Amino acid sequence: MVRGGRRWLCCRNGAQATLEFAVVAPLFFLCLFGAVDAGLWALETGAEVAAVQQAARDAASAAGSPLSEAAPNAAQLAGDIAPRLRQSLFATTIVPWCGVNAAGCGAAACPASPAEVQARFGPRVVAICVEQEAPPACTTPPPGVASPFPPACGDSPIVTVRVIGYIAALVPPGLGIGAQGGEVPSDVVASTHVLRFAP
Amino acid sequence: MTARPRRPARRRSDAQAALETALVIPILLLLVANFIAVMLMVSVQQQLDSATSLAAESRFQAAQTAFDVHGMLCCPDPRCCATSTSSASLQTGDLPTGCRYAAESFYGTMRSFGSLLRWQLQTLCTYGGDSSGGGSTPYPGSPSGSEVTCDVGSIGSDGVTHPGYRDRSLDPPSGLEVVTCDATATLSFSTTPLAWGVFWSPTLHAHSEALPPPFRQ
Repeated sequence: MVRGGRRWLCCRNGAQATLEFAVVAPLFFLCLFGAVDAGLWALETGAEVAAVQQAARDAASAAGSPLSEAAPNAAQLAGDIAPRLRQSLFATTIVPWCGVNAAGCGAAACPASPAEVQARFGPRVVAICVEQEAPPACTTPPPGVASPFPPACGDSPIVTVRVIGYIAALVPPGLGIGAQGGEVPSDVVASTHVLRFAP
Repeated sequence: MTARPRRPARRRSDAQAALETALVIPILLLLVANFIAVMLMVSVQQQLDSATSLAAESRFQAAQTAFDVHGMLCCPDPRCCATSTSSASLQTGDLPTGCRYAAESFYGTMRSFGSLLRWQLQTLCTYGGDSSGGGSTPYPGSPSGSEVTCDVGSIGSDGVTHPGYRDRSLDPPSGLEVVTCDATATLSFSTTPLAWGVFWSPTLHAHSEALPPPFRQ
């Protein structure tokens, strides 16, 4: 009796341990992957912030001459910062965002959302885009400036560099964070004024 | 005789396991929630540093003698430019153009995490600060509801010179005149799913200095 009871007790204990493991394991892995993913996300976002800041500085002084009105080239900027981003954005593809119908790759309207990048390039892709916003027309001359007024009253354009898309992550499908599993949305922006050698 | 005492022992062990699980899981979730909160804080701080840094640097894209025309607004921040009559708009008319450039760069860069931040609003444009303790003076008419404050020097069309921020740690003891931008915000997790386990709200501060490039000196 004692022997049979021990065997039953042993099997019941084994089943109990399995049941406990089945309950605890998902929570444990949720916590583990959550912590790892949070660290990974912070690392990737930090790299993106540093990259767009550098790209904005480059774009601000990227024109060929101090008087040039040419927009910076998204492909050149992407080529400039992509190697740095590749070191941090694991399993994520980096592409320049050029105008859909544009022959070259000048400043094109940036995608409105990460989903737009995904629709064009597929999952786990971030696009580097450059926007240049011209200053408003000069209707009122600045103080002390005589006619003829300089274009835009001497105001310089604003250049915006954006890294937008979905970065690879350990997020399981169906969690609702990314459009697909294994990705989280990312949208990092940097804006600055274009360098002009104004007097 | 030998089997009798085992029964209560197993029950006690079952209860102990359940109790241990009940104790450990909330603590584990709490730790993870706070770890995620710290990671979020680091990312926001990086973004804030980047925005103030670009703001300070972009001041030099405008000449020291350039001033905005009366009634001008800060763009492209939607808060400033959505409607020209909005009371929240930052009016930069009659202020150094560099101040507007700094604000535009700051707002243009600091577009993420907006819902998590409670800003300490400050005067947008000041002058004459000193690292040895001298306070900055607001430019006349400078808006006070700005999320970033910049200390910039200027030379008015009437010849009046407003000195910039003097940093005595550079080339002491006289120091060098620089541009500084500061922003302070409290990071609030109350509107995020982390609110159940994160009970702290860190105050983040970013300070950036920029030296004039050679062509501006």
